[in-house]
Amino acid sequence: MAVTSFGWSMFVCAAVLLSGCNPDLPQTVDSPNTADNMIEVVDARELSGFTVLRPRALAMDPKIELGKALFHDTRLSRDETVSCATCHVIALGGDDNRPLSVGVGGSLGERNAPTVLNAALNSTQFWDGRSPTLAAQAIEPIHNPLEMDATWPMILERLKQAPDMLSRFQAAGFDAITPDTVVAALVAYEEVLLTGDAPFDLWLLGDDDALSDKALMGLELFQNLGCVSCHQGRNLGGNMLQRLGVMADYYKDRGIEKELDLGRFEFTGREEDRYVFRVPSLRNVAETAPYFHDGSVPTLNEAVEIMGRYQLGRALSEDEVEALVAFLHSLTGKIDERLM
Amino acid sequence: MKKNLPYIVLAVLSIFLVFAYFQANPDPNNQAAVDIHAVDQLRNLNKSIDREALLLESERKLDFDRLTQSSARMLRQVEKQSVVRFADSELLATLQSKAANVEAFKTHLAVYRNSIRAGRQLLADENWPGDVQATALAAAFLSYVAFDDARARDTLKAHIDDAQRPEVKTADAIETFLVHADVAMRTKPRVSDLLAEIVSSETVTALTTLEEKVVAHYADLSAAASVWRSTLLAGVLLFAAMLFWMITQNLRKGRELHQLNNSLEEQVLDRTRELTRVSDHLMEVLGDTKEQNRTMQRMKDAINQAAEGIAILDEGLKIVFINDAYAQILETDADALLDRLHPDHELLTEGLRNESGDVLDVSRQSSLGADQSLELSIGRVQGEESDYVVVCRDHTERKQMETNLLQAQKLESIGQLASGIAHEINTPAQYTNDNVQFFNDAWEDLAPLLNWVKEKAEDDQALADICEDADLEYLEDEVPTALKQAGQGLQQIKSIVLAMKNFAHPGVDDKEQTNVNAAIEDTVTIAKNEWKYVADVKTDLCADIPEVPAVRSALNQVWLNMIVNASHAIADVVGDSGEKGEIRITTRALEDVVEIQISDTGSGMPEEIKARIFDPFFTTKGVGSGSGQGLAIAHNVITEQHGGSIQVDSAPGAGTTFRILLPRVVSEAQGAVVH
Repeated sequence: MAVTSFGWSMFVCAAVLLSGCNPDLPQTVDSPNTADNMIEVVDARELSGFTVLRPRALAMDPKIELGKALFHDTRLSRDETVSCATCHVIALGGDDNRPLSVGVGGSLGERNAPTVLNAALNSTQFWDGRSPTLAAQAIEPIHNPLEMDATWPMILERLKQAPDMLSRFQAAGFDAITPDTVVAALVAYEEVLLTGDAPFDLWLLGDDDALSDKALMGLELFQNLGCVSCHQGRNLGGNMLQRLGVMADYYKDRGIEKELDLGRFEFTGREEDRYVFRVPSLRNVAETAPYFHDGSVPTLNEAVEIMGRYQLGRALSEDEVEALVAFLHSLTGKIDERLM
Repeated sequence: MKKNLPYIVLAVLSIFLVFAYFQANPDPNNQAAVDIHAVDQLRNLNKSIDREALLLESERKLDFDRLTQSSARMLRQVEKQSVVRFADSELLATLQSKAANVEAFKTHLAVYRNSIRAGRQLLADENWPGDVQATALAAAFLSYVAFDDARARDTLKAHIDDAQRPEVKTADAIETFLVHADVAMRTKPRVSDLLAEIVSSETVTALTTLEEKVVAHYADLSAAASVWRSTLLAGVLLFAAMLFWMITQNLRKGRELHQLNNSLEEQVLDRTRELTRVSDHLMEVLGDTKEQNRTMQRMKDAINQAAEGIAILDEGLKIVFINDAYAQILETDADALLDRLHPDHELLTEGLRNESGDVLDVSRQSSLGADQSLELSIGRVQGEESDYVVVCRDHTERKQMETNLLQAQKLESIGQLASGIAHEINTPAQYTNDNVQFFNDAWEDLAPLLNWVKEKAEDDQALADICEDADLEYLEDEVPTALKQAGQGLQQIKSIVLAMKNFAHPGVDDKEQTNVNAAIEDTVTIAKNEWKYVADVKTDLCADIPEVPAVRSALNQVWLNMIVNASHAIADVVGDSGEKGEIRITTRALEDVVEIQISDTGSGMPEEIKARIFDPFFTTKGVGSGSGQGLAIAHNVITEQHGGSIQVDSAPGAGTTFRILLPRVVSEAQGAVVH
């Protein structure tokens, strides 16, 4: 007894049609807080408000190499003159030591370039904290007319025409060169841009000689004065928002010389966000002059002094400022040479 | 189409079952677990945020890392598919406002903490005044900070307002303190409110609702699935039942088929047996027929190959069967003669009129014009058909041979006669010839005497008269001539006699290797006188003609004879017109023989004459012109003496051709010695 071929074909067709039901949508490419995986959890001095930063031993892989290459690749800018590394120089503390950065065609940026070092440990990116992830941040300078002034089609075409690019992407585990994969490579690089062996970290890890007496004094002041209230956590900042001018009006005292930067208010429009900025990380701060969102404060001493007055309502003595500065210097860490 | 109905139904049912299967398993990948876990995660994060916030507020913790991360994670968790599918905008708004509250909480908490730290430090400082006001202020501050005491707050407020009055003088330390206290008083409520918002049950409720939604959704799905499962089970049973039914149907049909097949086989077997019988019978018949055919064929072959001609004619004397021999006699194809009237049917009809069994001697001409002499017998056949059988014997050759024999006998007797006469003539001819010879000698002897007489006669008239009376001059001219002619005549008689002798006894004369071309050319030359006025002679003599054993003189006689005859024949045609005919002589070497053809454009001969030309003493010429011996002798010389043959072809007005064949090798029968 044979089933007709007609019957069989119908059966097969039906089975095929119905088996394609109930697909689950794919998860996003971005996986948050992978930087967390890059830090070792170690036994250290417990000091309320501080967490030691000890980056895991770096294992370079094709993805990080690709990210590093793209980070330094000027093809990501319109006229191929500017790369991420132009404004975020790894060897110079992760920024360009200018009040405002120079983008494509000599245009000046709107705010001082924050350091890229340890940026992966911040909860948000930009001075106003508008980007929740590194991936979201990476897209903005690329498209900003004052910075890299490029478009994805432009960049992708250049990358696709490069002879070895596709194979590098494939070696990195990506199927193709797309905006998502370019950003993912950059992010992979940024996530390992962690500085270790800062004197402060070493001291936390048990090296009593790591901090000079002055630095130790500065540390105590840092805590007693209340700097630690905002500049706390593993990055000594970068995880909260605060108004510039808590105890006094910073802008009124300064006088309005140039266009007012209203901070977070500019993108939320809420009154409570006026003059509110992301609290910057103090790690490597000694390397990232000039200071504040507009790069208007050239020295660390000045910055400390301003902070004391406007955020804490205290008039700091010269000794106190120096001690604090000494402490801040102890927050400068080292970056693995392979990442430079 | 109806036959396929069960299959179609089965196919449709299969599709339905597959469909039902998928409906019964709506969540093969266990999405439910994934979704519930996601919502669970959300709840955990929420709890984590609440706990962290409380910890931070209680001043036991300074760093915001954990709180920040939990809040960030929560926001990302909300974006997950599992949550998005079930969450409504209200939940999203709730969670987003929670995150915002967390941010604000951190901001204000930091400020608040700093302000109370600064206040405490000022209170602990040695410069702090000891007066009551200061103490009360301190107490109010601490009470407010610790217990959020309303009265303490009012006290603080009052002091702050007071200090702001320009007239009131406040100590520096207190003034600074009041600044911080003011900040504390403004931020503390904010912090409390924010914390209250953060830890409010609103979020928990919303999340619980979400979880219930998810669970309910999957419960419904499960319920629906179980319905489908029942349907699926029913469907499967139905399918199985149908399948079973179809199988039994097929089995039954199979059995029927088997039975039918068996009966069919039996029928086939019977038929086969019958066919075998018939076939055997046919084979027998065929065998007999074959036998008959064989016999028939034997008879046919025998008849066909019989030496005599046999023909079977039907009532109308149409040929029904004719054997090869007869067909050959008639010189026609056997097939061409079938169904035709017998060519000699008139003769046969005559024969039939006579009593059957009579033999007819028939002379006829074959279809190719050759003369035939046949003996025919025709008889009636007693059988189913009224046929006639004709038997024919070809006597042509026999007749020919008989004729030849007769001819030869005739010739022999004539020869013998001639020989006898010749012999008789020979003797008188001989002594006559002697006497003529004597007379010739005698006259020569007398010649000197006559000369003396002639001389004397010149002187002596009487003598001259006597000479004149005797006609001496005439005698001197004519006597030798006459004697010569007599001698010639006698020679002629001698040669004729000799020829006739030869005729009767053809020569055991010696044969020599002879070149006939040379002989012919000589003869042509010799006979020139005969032909030169009436004909042109054309010769076409074979270049390398082989020599033949021959008696030269005899052959020469033949050639001469022929040329002379030809000339005479042409002369009959051309007469005195001055035109010339043509005598053509060709020689050719054939395998066994040498062929000589002599043809002329003379008057030709009719049939009756042609038949007799080789007869001795036969001539067409008038009396005294020829003896009629020429061709007879020629015939004798060629055939008897040389073993060759001579044929003549002639027709009136068309000239005559003689064809002579001379063997190149002398046969035993000839027996002559060849030089």
